[in-house]
Amino acid sequence: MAFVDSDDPKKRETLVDQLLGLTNDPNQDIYNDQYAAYWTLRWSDLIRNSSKSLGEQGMWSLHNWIKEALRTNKPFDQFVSELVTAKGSIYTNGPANYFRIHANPTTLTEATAQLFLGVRLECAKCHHHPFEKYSQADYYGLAAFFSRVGSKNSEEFGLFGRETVVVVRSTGEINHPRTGQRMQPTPLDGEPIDDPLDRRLPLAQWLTSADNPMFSRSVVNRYMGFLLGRGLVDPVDDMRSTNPPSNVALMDALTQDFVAHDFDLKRLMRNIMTSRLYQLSSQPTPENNSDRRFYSHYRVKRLTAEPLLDAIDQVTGVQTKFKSLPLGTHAIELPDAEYPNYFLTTFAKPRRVSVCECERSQEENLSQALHTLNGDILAKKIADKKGRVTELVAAKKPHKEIVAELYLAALCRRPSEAELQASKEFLAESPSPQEYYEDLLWALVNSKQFLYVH
Amino acid sequence: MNKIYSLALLLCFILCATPANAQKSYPMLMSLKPVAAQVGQTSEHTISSRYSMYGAYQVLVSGEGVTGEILHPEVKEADKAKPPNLQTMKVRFTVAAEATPGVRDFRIATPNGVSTLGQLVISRDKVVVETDKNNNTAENAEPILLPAAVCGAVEKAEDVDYYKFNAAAGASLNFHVRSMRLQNKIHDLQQHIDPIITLRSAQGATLAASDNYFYGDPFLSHTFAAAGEYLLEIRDVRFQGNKYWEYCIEISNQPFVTTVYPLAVAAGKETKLQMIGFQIPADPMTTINPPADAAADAQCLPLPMGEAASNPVSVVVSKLPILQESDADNNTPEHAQTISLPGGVNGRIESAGDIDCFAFAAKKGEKFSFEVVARREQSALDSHLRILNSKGKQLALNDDMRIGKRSSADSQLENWKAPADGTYFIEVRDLHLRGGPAFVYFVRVTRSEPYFELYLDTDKTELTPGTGGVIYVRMVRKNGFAGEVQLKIEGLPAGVSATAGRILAGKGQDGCIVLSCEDAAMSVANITVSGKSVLPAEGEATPKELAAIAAIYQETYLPGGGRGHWPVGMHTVSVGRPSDILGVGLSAYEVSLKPGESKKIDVTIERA
Repeated sequence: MAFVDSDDPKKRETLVDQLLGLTNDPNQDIYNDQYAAYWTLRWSDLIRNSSKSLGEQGMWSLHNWIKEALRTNKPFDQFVSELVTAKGSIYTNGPANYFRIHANPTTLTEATAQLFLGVRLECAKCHHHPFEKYSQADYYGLAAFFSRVGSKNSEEFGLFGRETVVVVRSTGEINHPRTGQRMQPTPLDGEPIDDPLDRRLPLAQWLTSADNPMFSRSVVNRYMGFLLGRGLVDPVDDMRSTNPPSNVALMDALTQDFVAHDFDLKRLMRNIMTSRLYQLSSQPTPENNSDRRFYSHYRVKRLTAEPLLDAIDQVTGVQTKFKSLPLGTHAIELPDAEYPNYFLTTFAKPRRVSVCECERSQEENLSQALHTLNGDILAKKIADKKGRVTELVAAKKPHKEIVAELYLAALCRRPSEAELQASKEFLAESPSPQEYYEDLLWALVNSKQFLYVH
Repeated sequence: MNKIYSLALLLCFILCATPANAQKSYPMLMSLKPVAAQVGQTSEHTISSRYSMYGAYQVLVSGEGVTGEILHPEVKEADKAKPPNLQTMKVRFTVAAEATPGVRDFRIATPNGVSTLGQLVISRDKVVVETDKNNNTAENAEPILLPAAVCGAVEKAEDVDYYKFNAAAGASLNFHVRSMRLQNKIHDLQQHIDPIITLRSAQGATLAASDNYFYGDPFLSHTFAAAGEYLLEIRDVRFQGNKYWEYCIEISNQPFVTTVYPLAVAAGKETKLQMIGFQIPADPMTTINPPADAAADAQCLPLPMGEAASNPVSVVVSKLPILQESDADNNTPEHAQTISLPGGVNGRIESAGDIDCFAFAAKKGEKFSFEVVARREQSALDSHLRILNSKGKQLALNDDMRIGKRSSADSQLENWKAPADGTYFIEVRDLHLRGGPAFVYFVRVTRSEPYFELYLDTDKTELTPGTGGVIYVRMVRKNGFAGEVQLKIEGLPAGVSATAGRILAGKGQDGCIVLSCEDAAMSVANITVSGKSVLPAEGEATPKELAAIAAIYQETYLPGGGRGHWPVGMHTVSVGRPSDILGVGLSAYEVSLKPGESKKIDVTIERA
């Protein structure tokens, strides 16, 4: 309410700083854990962290590493460098699990290129890329960096530990599938580079270099997509000469700032979130109604599965209990790929089988609409005897207060006079106040203002 | 097969007949609550077991300075005829003021035999026991005063324990968890904890977290920027739980030493050591002076720190001439430091990518064994060991070695033979190209000579009056050892006698020691099994006596079935109460057979 009521012209900027933990005031920087939790979720989707491939301990190890990196705002070049050069125990060193998720040089090549260069290299595995300049030689030259990664077992976690240690061997090569030529480790558009002890070291240096625009641009573009609903290049991980940015100058400016400030993700996000672009109204004008590329108005996007479920839990006052996690764990904190939760499945929580951003589908469908309109998950939460509505009614608060609280909880604003007036009329028609307020909350949760970021 | 040997085997088989009414198993210890006791204090603890501990009469504790006493429960007269199934029992531990902190093994002796092992943490800090079972949220955090050894349990799935404490601005605290490391020796705990700790502000914001530092156990060292109240959270990283999953978190502002440099010291020589760890004083040096007759082995010692002493730290005592790695660059064979063999070298992988090379001269046919001692003594190093020739070509490589039945991240190349006269190089690095102050190592180089190792794959032998038992001894022949080994057993309980066999020359790998127990009272003792052999000498050289003490392994249930073996420190022989088998007799005790012959032996079993 303090934000709603404030007329400070800088209140949005201040809120962004608070949410990102950039105020330098511990009393205000209180959302860092939630920040880390949400962005860990997003990066875990992309990196494909899953107990199905890693086992529970490996999954948690990787999850905790990602979360700690984001919580401490580790420079992103360092994050990626540690990931692609990871070795050691999969339990003690979370990023080592990257090499169990992608267990051979070709999957590592495709994943790394798509995640951190925004390049979809899969086609070049078998033939010259149809839309781009990359050939099979480029593909396998990149794959050669990963040709010496192996693993060994370890007993440091005891008899039951079943610990795997990712190691780099002194031998291992990649041959061109057609010519049979032994491929030297070669970055895209670059010259061969090698290291006698770990080929991934020069790969990481090239990949995350300030002089490698592919890396920094791909990160900038991805965060533009996260925050504004569409990247400057769309799809966000398909950056190529035949798919240029919609605004080259903006891409360059953001990228330069990102590199100049040590690949600081929070700074990048702040730049975007405090921009005029981010704060544009989502109401289009007749002139820009058809624009989907140039950010002429804020692009409305539906809340994704986990934040939506958390929002419903918060509004209704009834938390979802997830399997094998204590009550109170939010959906954005879920570490694993799959949970037996119908809501999350319906709203397209990714199963983490692909590094493509597209695995998290933003397309709305009828099942989702029916779920919130008619589904019993929402209905039960709204009607729960320990829920918000029941507590408000039991506290015998005045009607105006109850309605205000429901609107603030659901829509982050107070009801207008017209809405208030209508609510009085509907209350008078309802069999009971409890039933009315449940219906009101149901309507608010099913409104576009609740379901969509606008 | 040798006729006497076959008779001995037959005797073993008969005398090992399990008493018919001994479906009562020896107790299998599952947990100890609290799992820690403080130095200089006496405290009560509760042991939980599978199978009854009723009638327990003695507590055995490894090492010096810790004793245990059974606190016998009251048994009603009516229940004495049918002994209760006592699966929890109180015991009192008394820890001497000079007892060395660390982990001790203990057992309970009962009429049904001696129990499997339990583990007890001896801490310098006051033991604080989790008492509030509702401390599952930050709001209900249990207050604690520091320093403390906080003992609790992650007793069920989704259990999270919260503690709150106050810290001053600028205060630095170490949080050392022991939990997973206390479980490898628990015989029937088929699921182990993987704890994680999180430090939070009073508002719940994360300040720091640790998952796996000492193998599966966390360690955190944190300096608090502001004075105030803080929260400590501990749980299983997977949110699993088990009523036997005990933990001890030692929270203290005292220095915590993880390793030292150099790692190895000479017996009888004063040596300065650099302490490496957390909250180490500005002057990190200390001095130790092992006695001249100290055994050549790793020892866990508290180190002098001014007027106080550190936590126990591994230091390797060696009788080999020791070379200290110089500060000069020795990353390549061209810049290698020269070592004389046999000998040892103390070194450290100083930084990421550091490689250490040491040159030595060898004549064609000379055989040496190279062993890196590091990780097993708490160094951070996962060693990678190579032998190179003068052109830098790899001649031998080892990453991980076997130590008995288990593997180690340390490296060993045994019985390497120089192909020609010349200079060769030992190359040591970290497998993962890491480095830093804690990446210390000691390379031990000896001439390869035949020797043997012994081990027991059981850690207890249960006898009853009138019966016998057998301890099987396994041998591993090394470097071409082909001799015969005479076994010996020492430390038997009163009333128990033994016939120690021989492991025959050639390819023999197994021997046994037959125990018999005529009419002994209930008693228990830890025994030592050793073996001796004589290495024949060539020419006029003096024959060399070889000896080895058997390492001991405990059998452990594996999840889903099967058995594993874990090294332990004691093999205990116990004499229980008489079972229903009072004696076993044979119609003949000496049998002589020609090949193809057979003879019938009648066995008489005297039952109660």
